[in-house]
Amino acid sequence: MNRTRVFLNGELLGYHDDPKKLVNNIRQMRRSGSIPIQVNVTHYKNTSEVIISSDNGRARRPVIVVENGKPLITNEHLDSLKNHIITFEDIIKMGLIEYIDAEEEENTFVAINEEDLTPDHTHLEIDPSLILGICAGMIPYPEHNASPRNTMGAGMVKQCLGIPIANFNLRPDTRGHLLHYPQKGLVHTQTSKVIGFDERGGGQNFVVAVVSYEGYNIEDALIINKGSIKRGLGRSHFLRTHEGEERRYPGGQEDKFEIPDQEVRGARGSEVYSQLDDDGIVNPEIVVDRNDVLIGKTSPPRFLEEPTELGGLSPQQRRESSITMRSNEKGVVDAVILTESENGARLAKVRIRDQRVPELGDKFASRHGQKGVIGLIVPYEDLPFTESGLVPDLIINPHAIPSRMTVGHMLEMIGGKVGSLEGRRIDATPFSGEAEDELRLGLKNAGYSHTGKEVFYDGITGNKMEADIFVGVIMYQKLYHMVASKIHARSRGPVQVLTRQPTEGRAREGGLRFGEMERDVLIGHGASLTLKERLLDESDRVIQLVCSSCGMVATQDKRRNMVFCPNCGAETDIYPVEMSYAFKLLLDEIKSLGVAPRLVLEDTV
Amino acid sequence: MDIDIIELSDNKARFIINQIEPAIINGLRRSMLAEVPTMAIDYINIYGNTSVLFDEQIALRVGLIPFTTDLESYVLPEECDCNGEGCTKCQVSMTLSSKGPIIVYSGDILSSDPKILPADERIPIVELKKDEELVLEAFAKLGTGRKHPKWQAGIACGYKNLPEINILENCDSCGKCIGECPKGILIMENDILTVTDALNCNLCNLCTNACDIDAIIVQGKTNSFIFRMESDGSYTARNLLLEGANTIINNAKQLNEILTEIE
Amino acid sequence: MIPIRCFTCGSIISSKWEEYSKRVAEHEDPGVVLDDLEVERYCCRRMLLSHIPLVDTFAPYQ
Repeated sequence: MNRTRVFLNGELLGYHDDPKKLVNNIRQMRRSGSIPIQVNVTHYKNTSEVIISSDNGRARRPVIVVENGKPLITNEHLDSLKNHIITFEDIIKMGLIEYIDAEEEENTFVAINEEDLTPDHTHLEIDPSLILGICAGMIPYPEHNASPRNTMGAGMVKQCLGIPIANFNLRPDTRGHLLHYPQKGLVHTQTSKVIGFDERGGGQNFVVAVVSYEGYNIEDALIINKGSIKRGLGRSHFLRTHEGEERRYPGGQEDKFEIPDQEVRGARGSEVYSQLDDDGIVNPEIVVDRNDVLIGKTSPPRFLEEPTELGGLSPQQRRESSITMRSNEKGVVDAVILTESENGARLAKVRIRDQRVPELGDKFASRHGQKGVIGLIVPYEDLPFTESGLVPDLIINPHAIPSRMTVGHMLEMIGGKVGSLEGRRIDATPFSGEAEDELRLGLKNAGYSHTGKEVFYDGITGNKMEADIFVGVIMYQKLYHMVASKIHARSRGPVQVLTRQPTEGRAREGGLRFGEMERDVLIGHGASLTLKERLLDESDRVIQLVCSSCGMVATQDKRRNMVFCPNCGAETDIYPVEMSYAFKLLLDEIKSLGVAPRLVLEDTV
Repeated sequence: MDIDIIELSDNKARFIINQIEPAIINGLRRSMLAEVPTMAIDYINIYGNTSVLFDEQIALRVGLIPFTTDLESYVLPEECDCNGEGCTKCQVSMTLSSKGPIIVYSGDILSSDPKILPADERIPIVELKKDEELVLEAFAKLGTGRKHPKWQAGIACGYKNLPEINILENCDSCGKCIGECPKGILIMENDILTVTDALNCNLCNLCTNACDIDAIIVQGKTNSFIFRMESDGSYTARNLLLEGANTIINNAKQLNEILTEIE
Repeated sequence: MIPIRCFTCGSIISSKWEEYSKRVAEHEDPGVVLDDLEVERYCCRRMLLSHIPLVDTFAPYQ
């Protein structure tokens, strides 16, 4: 039986004999307003299914309805829209433009331009650039880039620093960034104008030269002008908010913001608390460094009373539980906010600001997926210069271009140069941006070579460079992967309680994992003792005393300086065995199952 | 070595210099950019700042303001008798105090030495809205561009080899090169290709590439340069050039002393 | 606020901002205004062209 199944939001409703008519009717009813515009319907001929969706969470985009090869929108409609006689919602209600979700797009044949319309087409794009979303719409000339680069460029637009929100001064965000001198891109797209990105700015326009220089920009590294950085290029602030709460415990006790007394358990010397005000909280504009106390706080003891050795109970002291700076951060206290939490307890938030000047290791990227990390900072007098004394802000390696095929990057460089010379912004909207020939003509009219190359002289020797260098103005973004947030080192440090192995994570001063593949490398080299050192000596090595007769771990009584096995008594031979604590943990876990893991001891050779 | 001045004003200069090696003229360029000492604010105490900018941002802005420089009266802090601690010989104290609503300009800075003043008084430091204020005390010291670009005296100093355009006899006046030149310095006069303004040529060689019969040759004359320089206001252009040369001579003298000592 | 000096060459461009933004607000061509103000190199021109004035945006939230 070939009757078509009809589904609504995944539920089988029934069967239908004439699916084409059904689907057409539904679409007509949607366009005329008889059923809500949120309904989308699709007909799959080969599986004989009609899918109707009306649920929420589907991404849909608007397209112009086309019937018999002619768009339903006419110039009169566009004029009325321009003169504010009708609105966009009215046009939707009239059924001239409809929203299509991903499923219904399977049944559409969308024309990109009006000239391409044939009687087979069902829809027409409002504007070809609307095929792309918000982040991809930030990329200038994306139609000239290879598609993976556009994907990466769109991803990095989300990581750029800028002005996140106008009232950042009033907000205690846990982490926030602020770019000091944001600029709007000289080469822009309609999308960036419409969403208001030009009013906030997410990057800066750099003067970029494309040349191999001293070998410091290999493998996507960037060479940056020291003078530019010191004049404010790429400068940002990093804001972090630390929070402390005066919690209330059952039993009536509570924490307290105060400068901890010397008698409090865990209190450090009084100099540590010297920056705190009388209420126990630092004041704004105090410079704080790693592990400095921001909010002095004491908590009640965990157990009210504990037995002492002499017998009897002694009252316990309060514990110190101050909020401190992270061990790898420093800065200046920017603001202190005192408020109340949901439980009615006092809440203190301290916001720290840290100025981040671009340094070696900070990541920058253009909008075309050309990312790179600063590899060298060159004084401005050493950089190559032109006859007008111009030096580049940034030098990128020409090897980054041919395999990646980001022609949009090159076009943006020419466009930015033309825009600065002519005093206007260049429109690089996808599929309708300014043509390359016009840009090159603009260069020529301004007195520069149409190739975009200029004659450079070496800043160190003074000689003319043999080849002309391609230079342009392009928008680069500073991404939030800054080296100051990532740099981490450990020789010895804290270990985990359970396994006695080094902790994990930079915030806990952890070690770097020597993983399975690294283990294979050492095996491959035959460096067995190095492997042992990595995995045992530098990790969780422990020496356990094992009884030779019963094979279980023996006890050592330090007081009486005796070792004895609890199973066998004091007469057996007990030997020390070197093992990892993780192995000892394994033995304990097996023991807990009621299985006896006995170690058979042999002489070491 | 001879010099032909094309343009000279208070802050800018452009001249042709002949019979000089590129290394020497580059040395002069680098000296003007990074080695001539100027005065700039190096240390500030901020007593009050309720503006929209952070303290650090205000500090950078105030530091970048150029000041008129008097090398006779002041010395570099490293060479001062006080060892850089700060005395009247190596630093000038200044104050700035404003309350909004107003735009604070560099001209509002009060200097204790009437000869050391901001080179440009119209530099906006920060805009203060109603009830916002900025109160700070600043110390200006001498320094070189090598340490920080706030002390750079020269701006965008550059040069090019003196362009020489030779039109050979086999030129057939086809005119292909005329359209190529971005500077527009090639014209056809009475069917003969002529150069209007050779100095403006930027040595891009688009014309030689366009010529099929190699009838036009563009070269830069060796050891002859057109030099262009600009000052940020701390010196006049003329004085900057002289100071640039003096700094090289002083450094060479120092090197000479050290070398004779070693001998 | 407009940066004091051009990032690339260090010339003082901040003193030209007020006149530039006033004349551009009166619909003069920015290229012509930049030429009048003698901003010649394109590094300095892009500083004035692409600057976003943010003081008024932040001011209500101080």
